[in-house]
Amino acid sequence: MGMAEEPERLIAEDGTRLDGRKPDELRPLRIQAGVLKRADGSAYLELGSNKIIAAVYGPRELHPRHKQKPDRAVIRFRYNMAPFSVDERKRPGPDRRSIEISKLSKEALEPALFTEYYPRTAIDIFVEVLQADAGTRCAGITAASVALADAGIEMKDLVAAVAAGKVDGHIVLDPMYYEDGYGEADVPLAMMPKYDAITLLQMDGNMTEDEFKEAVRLAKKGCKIIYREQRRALKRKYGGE
Amino acid sequence: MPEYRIYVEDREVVTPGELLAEGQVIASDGTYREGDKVYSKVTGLASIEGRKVRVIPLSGPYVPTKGDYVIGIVQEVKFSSWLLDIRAPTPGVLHVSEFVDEEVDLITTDLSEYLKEGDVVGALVQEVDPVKRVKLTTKGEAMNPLGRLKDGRIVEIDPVKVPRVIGRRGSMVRMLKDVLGCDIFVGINGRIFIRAREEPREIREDLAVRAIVEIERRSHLSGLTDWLESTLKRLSRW
Amino acid sequence: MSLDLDLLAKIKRHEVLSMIRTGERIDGRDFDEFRPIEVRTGVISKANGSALVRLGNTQLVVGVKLEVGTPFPDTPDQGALAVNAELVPLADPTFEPGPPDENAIELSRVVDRGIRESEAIDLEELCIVEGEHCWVVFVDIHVLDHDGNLFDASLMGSVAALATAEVPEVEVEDDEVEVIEDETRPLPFRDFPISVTVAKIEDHVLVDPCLEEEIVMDARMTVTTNERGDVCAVQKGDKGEFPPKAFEEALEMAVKKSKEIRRTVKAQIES
Repeated sequence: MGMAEEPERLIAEDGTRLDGRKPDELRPLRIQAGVLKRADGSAYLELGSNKIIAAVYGPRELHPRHKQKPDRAVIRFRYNMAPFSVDERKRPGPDRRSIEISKLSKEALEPALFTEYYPRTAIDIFVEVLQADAGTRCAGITAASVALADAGIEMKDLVAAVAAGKVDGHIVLDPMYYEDGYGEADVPLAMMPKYDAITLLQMDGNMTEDEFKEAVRLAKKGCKIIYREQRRALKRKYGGE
Repeated sequence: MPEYRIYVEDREVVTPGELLAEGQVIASDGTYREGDKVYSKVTGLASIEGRKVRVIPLSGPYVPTKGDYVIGIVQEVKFSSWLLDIRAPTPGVLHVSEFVDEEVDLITTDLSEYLKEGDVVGALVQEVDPVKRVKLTTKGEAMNPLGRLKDGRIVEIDPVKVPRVIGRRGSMVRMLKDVLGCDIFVGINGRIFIRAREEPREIREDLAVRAIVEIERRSHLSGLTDWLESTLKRLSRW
Repeated sequence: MSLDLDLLAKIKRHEVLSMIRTGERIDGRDFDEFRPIEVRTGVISKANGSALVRLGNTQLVVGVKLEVGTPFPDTPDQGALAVNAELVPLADPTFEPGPPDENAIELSRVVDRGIRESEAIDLEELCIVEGEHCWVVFVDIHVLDHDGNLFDASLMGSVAALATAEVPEVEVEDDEVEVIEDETRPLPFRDFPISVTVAKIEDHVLVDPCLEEEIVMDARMTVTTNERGDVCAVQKGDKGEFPPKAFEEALEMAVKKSKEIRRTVKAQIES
């Protein structure tokens, strides 16, 4: 039982998408900081039908000793999907996709952290996807940033992430399930908005160079909106709003 | 032409990467400088005192600072030192010479004769080296007792809430000690040692534990000291 | 912070014990009182049934997914049930990534027995073609925040998810099963098993232990009853022992409490 039949048109003449959005519109986004008791920091995020929870433990002692870095923290990231999060039940445990996402997500966040302030420790980041609807790796990074800030870990900036895609020839922001599955290209991107610096970038599919640049531009624009929401979520938790 | 500009208000909640100020300001705790600009490193409350800009974190691990009084728990007994868990990312090291006055023959002496795993120790952070290793000592002057702390119990709270338990000029912790007849030693690392001075010991210590948990829970409310004092006086009829 | 669990237990034991001896629990509850229970169903739309459970600060999500599979050879006319629990690392500083450890396995099996032994799912109704095709009901428990008593929270969530789950219609043609996703009927769920976990700390027994009480307890007993009040599963866990008095008190407390908890959970689902 895979994806349902391909819809006839993914985008109308005037650019309206299957879910009524305009090409540069994000799905509804909701972020809540500090939702778990045990974790040092946490966040819950909804983007469209995506439901994601991120948690941070650390900085904490790292064992075995030989894995420690004398001058900085070791960052570990684990992205995991719940068995019930997707259409066809996913067997529990990491698969190759999850392992790659975990690696790239760690690399997307590390530039933003003052790891040199926490030598010989580990900062562990966990993302659990409870419900998936395309764009989970970016949503996971976005939630993880909030969880890191919630844990009080010193950071240069928050990291915001979102994907852009090419669908029926149009460049669109934040592709949803069908657009991701039937579109021509998918471009997940993460950045530190303050520096306008990209920390994660992937592309798969078929695009001209210009189309790719346009997708990057659109994704960055989306990240700025997400960044505002991340900050709001943190301020809300501490009564700042 | 101002020498500096401040972009946030005192006590405003700020987030990592947020621009706080620019120019000739003193960039203090919780901030970092890039060129001319000063940004926040953490989620916290901006604190603006004239030119001094800092951010008070609203959550976060205990970061050991020289001079802190901490309550540690012996985690490991080594050859010439003990490793103490001080609720920091890495344990603090207490060298035998910083605990014992006399000469100790390390070849024949097992250090657990002095301190064993699980023992509770009041200590000062003597030094935090450039790679964040923490050296502790029980020698020196401190507001609270240094050395092994016996016969009491421990409560752990968020280190960020410690100032609330101490209170303005120590008023909160003093009130608790007086009303409940307990020794209460507050470690900056969020660990608190409680020991009743008189009978009924268990009940006094229980109340002290409950009071501290309440302070942590209600730290944002005002009038807390007075409310707590009257509540405890009511409950401590013995 | 990585304080040894044994060390933590020593510190906590003081606090927890001294209060229990005076008839109080660290969070102010009575010995026979549960923490606040919140159950919300239908939280994961991709699942056939789902529930979010909050039991005090313990939080978990249960997802029910139905897949077409082959029946077990010894029960050719029945569907199958598979319960799995994931103690994901974000739920607790001591949970490590990896395949289910003995705690996750025990948890899944206790929940499984509660559902299976109460015969709450009419497995015969889930047969599609005898001996060939049947529905396999996957119950996946995803623990998010561990503050004690994962057993009761997990069973509550599983039952809530199953009680509100929908089974798609199927068409069988030439030994091929076609699932019609848009047409569904309720999962045949005909009982409402509830478990009550009782912790023994010295001579005292108390229900719904929070994490600090679990760290300190000598032993626990989880008693699962069906709607009629019959006991359908019991599990004693942890390395302590239950002398006769504690055992009787625990059993009585559990059976008595289960009626109330069942009412609470049902009310939550209906609202």
